[in-house]
Formats: sequence, structure tokens, C-alpha cells
Amino acid sequence: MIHRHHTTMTCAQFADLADAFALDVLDDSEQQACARHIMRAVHQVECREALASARAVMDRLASALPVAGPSPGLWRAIESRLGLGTGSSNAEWL
Amino acid sequence: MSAPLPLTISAPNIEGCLTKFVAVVPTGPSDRARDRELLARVARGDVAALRALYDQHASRAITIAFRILRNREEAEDVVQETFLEVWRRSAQFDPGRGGAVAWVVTIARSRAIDRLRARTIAGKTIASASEDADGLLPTPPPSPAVETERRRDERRVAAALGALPAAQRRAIELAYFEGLSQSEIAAKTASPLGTVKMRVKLAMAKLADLLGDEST
Repeated sequence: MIHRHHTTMTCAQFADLADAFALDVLDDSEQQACARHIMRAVHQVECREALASARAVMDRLASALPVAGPSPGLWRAIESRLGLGTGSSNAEWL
Repeated sequence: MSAPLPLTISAPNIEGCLTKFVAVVPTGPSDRARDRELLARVARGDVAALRALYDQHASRAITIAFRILRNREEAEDVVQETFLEVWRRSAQFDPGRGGAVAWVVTIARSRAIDRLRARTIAGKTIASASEDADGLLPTPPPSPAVETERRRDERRVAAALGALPAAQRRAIELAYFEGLSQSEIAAKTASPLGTVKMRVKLAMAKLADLLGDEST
């Protein structure tokens, strides 16, 4: 059970939720608790491995997506929102 | 009006869609290295490199966005946001956490889920935004070698999904491909929330086992 009010999540609790956290299918409070935990537990091998395993599965699911093309004008819309032309720089964003 | 795109991914559906849509999708180590180079160039402000990434990966981004939102216009908005985010955050890309295609798809999926949940909060029903797939255009055929590898990769994933018990597969389909939260899945499938959580967990563990040796 994850307690509210920012109660510290243990590594075991995180490992139990890592798959659902990676999938972004937890309720908001649990999703945020997991995000806080992985930020704090950056050096915890168990937590990072659990998350990496889930992300590896998601990588493979991404590769299973059937694909379809966007509208011909979509790239031009992106360029327009960037306010740039081909060969320009994104330095102002960085 | 033509028949809608299948919104539930199952092994047969994946194979069916593969007969309709093709795309150039990098899968091998050299492709990953090329993507890393492209992202490095994007971080230095090279719009042509961003365009190259767009040409490679926009098709998958729009597919996941459309599956979640079921609306072409919103899905294309999500793709715009996705590549603007790639432009801004390319320097933060961590190749140790997966390839560029996974990163792009993850961004698109997250943005689509944000929109889906905002739409739900606004009181709109998912069904009201439904749209057929006419706006999703087939992409040009890739080289035979790339297409062969892509199809092999997709068959592996389809087989792994097909190996899951039906209830677990459905939970993953709703979670990953349609962007529903576990609570929403529980409501949609009339299952207890705890059961849904267990199905997602067991499905992910089995997929990790089945696909783990192939994930690099």
C-alpha cells in the first residue's frame, strides 16, 4: 500500500510498481510517488533494473506498432512551430 | 465510410495491419548508431537531422497517438509536440534506456495519454472522438532488407503477445496501445482493480522473459 502525503516509498514497493509506472497506468498519486522514488534512488540497482526491464518490454511493444504515414503537410507544420527553416539552429532552445 | 482501423492489438490484428502499412524502421545496431548520431546533430541545431528522424519515426508516433486518441487531427498535433520535444531535449537522450524509436514513441504516447485524460476530465467521451482510419496514409515501401527485419521483429512481438493468457493480453493492449490507466481498465473490463494490476504485472514479466534476450 502506498500512503499519501509523500510517504517515502521503499525500493521493494517501487519494484512492485515499476512495470505499471513505466507504462504510465498508475493513478496520479502512485505515479508521482514512483517518480519521486526513482529520482532519489538513482543508485539503487534493484530499482533501476526493474525500470529498465519494463522499458525494454515497451521498446519491443513499440516495434510491434503497425505504422501509417502522417499527412504531407505535417513536417511543414513542425518547421513552422520551430520558427526555423532547414539548416537553422535550435540554439535558442538550449 | 470505410471500416475503422483495429483499435485492439492482438497477434492476428498486428499481422493484418502489416499487410496494409509498411515503413522504414531501424532495428539493428547500425541503425541505432545512426539514430544516436542524428540526435547528436539535432542537439547541435541541425534541422535536417531532425527531419531525418521524423522521416524514420513519425509513422510510429502517429500510429500510437491515433490508437490512443482515435482522432487524426489530434494525433498529428501530438506528433508535432513530439518532434518539438525531440528538438528541445535531444541532448538529454540516453541511449542506455533504449533506441530513438522507443524514445519518440514514448514521448508521443505520453503526450497522447495527457490529451486523453484531459479530454476525460473535460467530460468528453472517448467514443465521441472516434474516427475511421482514412486519414492515416500508407507509407512508402522500405528496402527489402529493412522490411524483412522489421517484419521479423514484429512477428516476434506478436508471438509473445499471443502467448499471453487472453485477460493479460487484453490488459496490456488497453494499457500500452490505448493508454488507459489501470483504474480505467478495471472499469472497462468490469474487473477488480487488484486483478487488473496483477494481470499487467504478470503480462509484463512474461513479455520480459519472452523478449528479454532480443531487446538489445
